[in-house]
Amino acid sequence: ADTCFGALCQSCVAPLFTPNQTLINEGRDTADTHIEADRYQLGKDGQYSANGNVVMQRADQEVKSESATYQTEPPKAAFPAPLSYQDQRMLATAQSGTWSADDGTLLNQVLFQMRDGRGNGRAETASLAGPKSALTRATFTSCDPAHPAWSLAAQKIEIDSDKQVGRAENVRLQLGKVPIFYWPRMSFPTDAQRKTGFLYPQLGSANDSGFDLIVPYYLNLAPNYDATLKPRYIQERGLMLAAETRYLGEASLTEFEFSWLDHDRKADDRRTSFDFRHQQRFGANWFLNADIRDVSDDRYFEDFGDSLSSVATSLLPSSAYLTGRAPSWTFSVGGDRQEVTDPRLPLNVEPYRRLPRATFDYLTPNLSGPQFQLESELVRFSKDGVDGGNRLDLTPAVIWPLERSYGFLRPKLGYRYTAYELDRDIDSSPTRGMPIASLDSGLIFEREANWFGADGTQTLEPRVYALYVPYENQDNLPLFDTQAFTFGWGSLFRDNAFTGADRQIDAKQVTAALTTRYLDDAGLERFRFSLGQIRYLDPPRIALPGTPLRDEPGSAYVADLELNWTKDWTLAATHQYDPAVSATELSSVYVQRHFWDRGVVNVGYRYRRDLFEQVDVSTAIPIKDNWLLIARVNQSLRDDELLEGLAGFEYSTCCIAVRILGRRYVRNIEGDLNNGIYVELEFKGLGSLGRRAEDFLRRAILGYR
Amino acid sequence: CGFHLREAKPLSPTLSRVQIEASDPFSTVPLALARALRERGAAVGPGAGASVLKITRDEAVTEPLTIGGQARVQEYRVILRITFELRDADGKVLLDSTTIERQRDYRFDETQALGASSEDERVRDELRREQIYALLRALEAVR
Amino acid sequence: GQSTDRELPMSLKSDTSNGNLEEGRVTLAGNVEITQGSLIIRANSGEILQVDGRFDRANFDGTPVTIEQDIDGQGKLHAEAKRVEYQVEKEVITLIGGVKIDRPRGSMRGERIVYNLATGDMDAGNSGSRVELIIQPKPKTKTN
Repeated sequence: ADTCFGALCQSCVAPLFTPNQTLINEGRDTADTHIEADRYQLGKDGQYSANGNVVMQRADQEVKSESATYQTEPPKAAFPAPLSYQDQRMLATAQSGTWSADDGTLLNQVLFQMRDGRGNGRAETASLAGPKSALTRATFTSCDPAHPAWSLAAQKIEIDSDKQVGRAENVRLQLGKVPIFYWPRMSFPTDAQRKTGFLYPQLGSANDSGFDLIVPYYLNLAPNYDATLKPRYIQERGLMLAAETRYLGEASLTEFEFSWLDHDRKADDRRTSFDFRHQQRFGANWFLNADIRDVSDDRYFEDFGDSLSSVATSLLPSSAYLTGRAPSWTFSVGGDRQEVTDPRLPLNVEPYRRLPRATFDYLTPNLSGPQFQLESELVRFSKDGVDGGNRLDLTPAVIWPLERSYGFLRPKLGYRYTAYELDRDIDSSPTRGMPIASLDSGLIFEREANWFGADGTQTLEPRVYALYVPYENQDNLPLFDTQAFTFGWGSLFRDNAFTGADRQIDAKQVTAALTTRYLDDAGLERFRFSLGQIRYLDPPRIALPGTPLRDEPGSAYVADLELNWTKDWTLAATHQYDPAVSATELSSVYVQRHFWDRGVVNVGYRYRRDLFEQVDVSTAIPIKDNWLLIARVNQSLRDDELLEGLAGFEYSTCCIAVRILGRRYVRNIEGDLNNGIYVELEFKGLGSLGRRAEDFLRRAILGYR
Repeated sequence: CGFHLREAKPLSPTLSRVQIEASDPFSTVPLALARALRERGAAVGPGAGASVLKITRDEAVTEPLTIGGQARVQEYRVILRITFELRDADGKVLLDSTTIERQRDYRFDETQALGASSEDERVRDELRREQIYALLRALEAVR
Repeated sequence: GQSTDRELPMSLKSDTSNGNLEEGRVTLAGNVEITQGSLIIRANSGEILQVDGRFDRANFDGTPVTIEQDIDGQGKLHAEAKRVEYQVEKEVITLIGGVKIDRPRGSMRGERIVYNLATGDMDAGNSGSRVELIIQPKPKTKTN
């Protein structure tokens, strides 16, 4: 994207004139007024008329003109001839103007430029009083005023430079000379940094919902509190009211979004959603983090989500935790739940609510010698129509890490004790306890190496991780939040094969792994290849119900490779081969190449046995300096089906961006495809009009800038 | 073939005292990094001659990686990205703005999503440790 | 005041003086002081020239030369310069070198200021230097 925001930048809008940088920016009412000229004329009534490149200065204000008259009572200056005006907020040229100590500066036939951000334009008259400037019959744009690609033409525009907000009355938004929108009253941010959502209608269409129009209205209620109302009309469903509010407290941030469609014609029901987010700090160590979300039904995202990833949301998480952190302990208390938003999912699949849930981890702060460690969790599990229960899980342990530059030795001896209080009436308080012993050890070998044309070091890091956990029958224990970890590099060095505490793997195993890295002279990893496998001395006997025991002496082999050739080249590949089925479990290759500053190509292949095999190719190709060709294909090879296809272009100058994209993506569980046309006009510096294509592009094409 | 056990490289004297400035007050990085620096003999916290490690970006994002034929997520990817710069006591840049990114994916099946959030938490912890290790290797390279 | 002073008699005082008005030239040296009504000129040295019996020109040098005069009902004028040349007929005063003219609501600065008493014109007399007007803020003006 263009880097032309912020201070006035030459590439986009040439400054009207080179501002005088020596002015001081405060104390207008206490500063002397200086008027310099070639000649003066002293009138009788205390009037001075100055002629010959007159320069008037007062604190941050400076006016230059051919002639001026100055009267002392009340202090007022008049500039009959064309002039240039400058203060800390604005540069302007005008045909004439007046200045007065009491009621500010009035300029006629003005060309103005904001000094922070790139808002500029013309005005019949401009009255400048401190941070506020009122313009009449004015145009405002961030483009080059000579030929603005877009501009706001308004009867009256008032700009408050401190609040960085503009308010306008009967405003026409013009594309070139063609007016495309009209508002009786509206407000807009005059600086780009303040991302306040979209100020202009978003339009798009898709075959499942027809014409889809959002008309946002931005309310700048206070410097730390704003809101955006986003009424949305969907042709086949009706008018949905939606809003986002944001409140910035002294040490907190509160955001609330909601949407309300009273009667959805197509679904013949009321459709609502809300998302309440609140983050608050208490002192240096404690903070609250809450994100409560809800939707009215399980097809809400399918019908109203505008991106593939939001459409594919099947479980909607909500959580709220108060967390305290200190050098030797971490404590958190709160709760979370996941709401099913996928019509195909039977309700019994919904994960248990964990409310309340408290965790406490402790590690003695000494930096050498043996350390005492405690990991603990206390949770109440509940789910509608199913027996819940409380679970306490404690793992006190002694660890004695020996870290050296050439390697490490991390012995750990712990005892895991887990106790339940279940709502079921038989065997309602089972317990489980077993020792866990592990020894993680590794050596680091190094040698000088010269890859990529620069000196660096290559390492060779053998690592052995031994784990012993005696077997204990756990069939009587419930399954609240426990599942098998996705097998991968992390699994090689974990002391449990399951998430949660309902199952603790029995283990007599040794992991052998080897990693080699290339670090450049700045110590940054430019290449890494790792290979590892777990050798089971006794095959584990704990498995989740319905999954067969594994009697293979070794786990799948795991191989990871990552190469960052230059900052423009990235290659990442992983591979897992499982000797038990002598087949590839997982294979993925991903290549990314940046070129010509904004160009990027991504090629990805992913395969998981019996699950999916996909290819994902996406690219953004810059053509000439303003055009960008955009394309993506995400194809499932297994089902020979297009998951998402997208093609389009972006035309972008320093003040306007036009994006037109055609998209075809899987929309719902039935696998129907959705075609969508997305048009977006972005007025840089003011927000954008049209479906939020840029954000979605960034997700669809990794590396799109 | 030239490999030898890695010798101890003491931290450069300019890192004898390091002050960590974190952009995100909720992040776990400052505490973990402080511990690792102390293990290497550096003092951590404001003080005379302290060089400043400024963490300008610290993101942990879980996003869908693979979406299947029924528009359902089949894999999530966790990406941890940290950008930092290092200046000595009088503001000279020792390490220009550097980004360390680690990512890992995990399978997701919405019919068995009981453990999804605890797997996500565990993967983030492991990636965070790798990130701190890589950050230290960059600090050790500062002369 | 400024407009009436010219009709009043002028007195000259100095430590030493030679020459006399009849010959048309008088030079004064040491604590020169010229008064005419409310006009008071002080300088280190001066010379006064007469043509056809009438007072034609006067030049003064000082470190600096100071001029004070009441402006009709608007307070006092105070001016300084290294050298002052007064051409009576043309009613033009030329101030040269570190010129300061302080009037109640504004003071002028410059390297060379030519001030025409009749027309009120004031310019730098094409010396290439500039004339500057400085206005102090009124005590309790509103901020803008």
